[in-house]
Amino acid sequence: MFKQILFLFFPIYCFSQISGTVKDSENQPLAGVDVLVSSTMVLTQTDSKGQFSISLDIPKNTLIFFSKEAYASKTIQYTSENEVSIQLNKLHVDIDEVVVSSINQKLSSNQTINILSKKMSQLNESSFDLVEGLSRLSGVEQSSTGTGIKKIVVRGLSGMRVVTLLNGVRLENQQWGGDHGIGFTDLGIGKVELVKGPASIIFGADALGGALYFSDENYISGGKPRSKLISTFESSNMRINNQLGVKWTRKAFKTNTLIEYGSAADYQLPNGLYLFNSRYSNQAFKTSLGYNTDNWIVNLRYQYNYGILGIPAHSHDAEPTLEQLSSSSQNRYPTRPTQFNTQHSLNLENTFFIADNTLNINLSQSTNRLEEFEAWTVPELDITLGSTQLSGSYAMPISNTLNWTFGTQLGQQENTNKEARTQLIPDGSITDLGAYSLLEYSKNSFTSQLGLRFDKREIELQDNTFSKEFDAFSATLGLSKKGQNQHIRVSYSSAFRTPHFSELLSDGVHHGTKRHEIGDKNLIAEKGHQFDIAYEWTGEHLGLIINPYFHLINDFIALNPKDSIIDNTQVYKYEQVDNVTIKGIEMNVHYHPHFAHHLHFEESLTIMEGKEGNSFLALMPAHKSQTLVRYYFDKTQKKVQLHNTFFEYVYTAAQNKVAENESPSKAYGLFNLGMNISIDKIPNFELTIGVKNVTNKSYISHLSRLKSYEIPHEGRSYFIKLCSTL
Amino acid sequence: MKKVSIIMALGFFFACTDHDECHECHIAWENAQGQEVEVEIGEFCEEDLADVESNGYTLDESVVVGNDTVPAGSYPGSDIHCEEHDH
Repeated sequence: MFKQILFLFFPIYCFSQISGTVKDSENQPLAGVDVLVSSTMVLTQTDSKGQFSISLDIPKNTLIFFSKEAYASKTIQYTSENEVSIQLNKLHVDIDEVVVSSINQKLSSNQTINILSKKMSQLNESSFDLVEGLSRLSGVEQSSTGTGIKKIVVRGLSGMRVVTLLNGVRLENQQWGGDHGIGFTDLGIGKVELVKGPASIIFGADALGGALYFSDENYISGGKPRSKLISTFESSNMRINNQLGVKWTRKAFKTNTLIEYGSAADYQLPNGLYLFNSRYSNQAFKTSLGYNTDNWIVNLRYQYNYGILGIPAHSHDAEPTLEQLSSSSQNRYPTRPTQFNTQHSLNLENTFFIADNTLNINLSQSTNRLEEFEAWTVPELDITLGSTQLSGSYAMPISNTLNWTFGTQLGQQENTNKEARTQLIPDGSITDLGAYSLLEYSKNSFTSQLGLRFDKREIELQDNTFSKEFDAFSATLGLSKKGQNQHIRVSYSSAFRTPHFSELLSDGVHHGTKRHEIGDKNLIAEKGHQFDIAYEWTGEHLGLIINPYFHLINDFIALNPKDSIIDNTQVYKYEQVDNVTIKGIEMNVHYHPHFAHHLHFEESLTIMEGKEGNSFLALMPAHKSQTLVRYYFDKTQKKVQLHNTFFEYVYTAAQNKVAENESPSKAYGLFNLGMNISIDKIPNFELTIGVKNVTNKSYISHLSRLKSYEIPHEGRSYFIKLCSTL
Repeated sequence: MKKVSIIMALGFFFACTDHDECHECHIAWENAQGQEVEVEIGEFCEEDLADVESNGYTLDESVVVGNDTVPAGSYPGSDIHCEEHDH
């Protein structure tokens, strides 16, 4: 009966199959190779004979991606063959793994724009916090208010200037506030892609500093349902976090469902005291349902996130001391002031394959409610942001070498205040309309891309007392040339960001930041232009990437402190400045010595500087280098198998290039170490243990929002992660 | 080990809720030097807590705190601060 109903609704329901074998260069079968059908997000693995089989419809021209750690990945384009034979060659150095981008379904080796892609499993090896994990990428930093509230900083820009997307949908969650965190966790996220620098051509308004594109974990290809439990613990804030997920695929239907609960107490400072009210807790639920035929893929996704976030360093004294803001005991129960952040997102994404063309249609609805309480029963701030987005794109080959993609995006945001003591931003709406065209030429190892986009944004208050329209053009031009051992990418991209309600109209105390903020109705859109060059060289035992860039921003909107006080709170005013430049260089080196095949060295270096005319720009990250040494152990027959151990040293230089009224920061170095273990008697079980900040170093990041109170970050913290797959 | 993990997960899912809704409150009054002076007004629970935080508190007589005299009168909810309670 069930099948009959399916046939009724999906008359083109039929199955084709692809199977094959993966071997190494010595013709030996390779087990445990990931086989990913990129468009349908179905993942399977080869068995002990190196064989795999996928009993699902596969859209024509879909990329099928074969990857295994320590081997060079390979991609094939599916036509109609049922049997494939793949060979993967051993790879000693992995400087920039070739992957299929979820942003545009292109191989990273053919990208002309700078997209950095990482699996979440790589980022949270020694860090179980989404933002902290991302800050390990070169050019990425975190701006934090304790351990619970964190924001991503990309090449010195953050907040409204960095667009965050989850499965192609923009997350709108009041990023204008310096104390408003990212709002979700790594639950069910499989991969993150980072576009460094202007990205309006793809993502529209606001993507001036870059875009973070998160993609959910893949579906399984079939068989029995699979479940996964991940439990983590960190000693500094006694944080426990549990994630439970179930994946199930039956024929063309696929589903992933996950839940999470996490709770953290006040974190321990290096002096042994605890930072009062740095506690937080979070709950999350997400589910996705996918279905596909050979010419249609549909995914329906729902996600819920709820966070209770303590706001530390709150005092009514003008200059509180560290002793006043810390406590000798550790507590995890919610107190005041606290943020309550609730997010619901629903997303329906459709992909149609029409001959050689691809049509994408994406519809989403999200609601974010942010409540800030200083009292127990009456909120200081209670804002709900509703967002509806519709986007469509059409990709078509014009010839063997030329591809054209065009698309449009529509968006509507409604900001509504509920009864509260203050109303920092008024009730109003933002309406977006954008259209773009991308032309890509690709021949042999050369790829070039030209893109143009027009956007229109209207900001309107509900009481009709204010209305403003913004129009903007964005463009991108990129060239990519790949040689045998070398790859060079050169790109220009532009973007714009319109002022937010808070920058145009705020006039009041923002309790989370302890500022009286005053907006300016006459602000115009910021415009950014970035030039980016990435050179990559890969040898047998050494790989390196050098990536200099220059970013010019006109009409930059800055929040400047003023020499006045209202109601005992310092006044800050939004002002527009010209000729802001951010320049820097990012380098990565991966060295794998020939004489020690189990040893890997990875080094990354980030150097950057931001200027406003002849003055330095405020809140620019300090120079940073990260050294990672990893040793892989041989597989043994022992009951406890040690897979690898790693040692990491992160050095952050002093930041003395500071803006007027901004204090400099001292240099610091942090040691982290850990190891991955499996236990013979418990199959599908992995254990990671380690220590962060081994030397219990007292340090304050230049971007910490608690820097003005001289509150250091966490001291030494032991961590443990249990991962069990059934 | 799996059972332990599952029990841990379920335990943490339902742990850590806050039930006690009583708090010691004070009027936060600012003196001429801009320093905060506190006048204790007692413990408030549930509806009374919501009432004092919404509608404020009337101090019938002036109160001397150290060298400061906090005048009698009505203080708005924003001047009422209620402390964290012990667990």
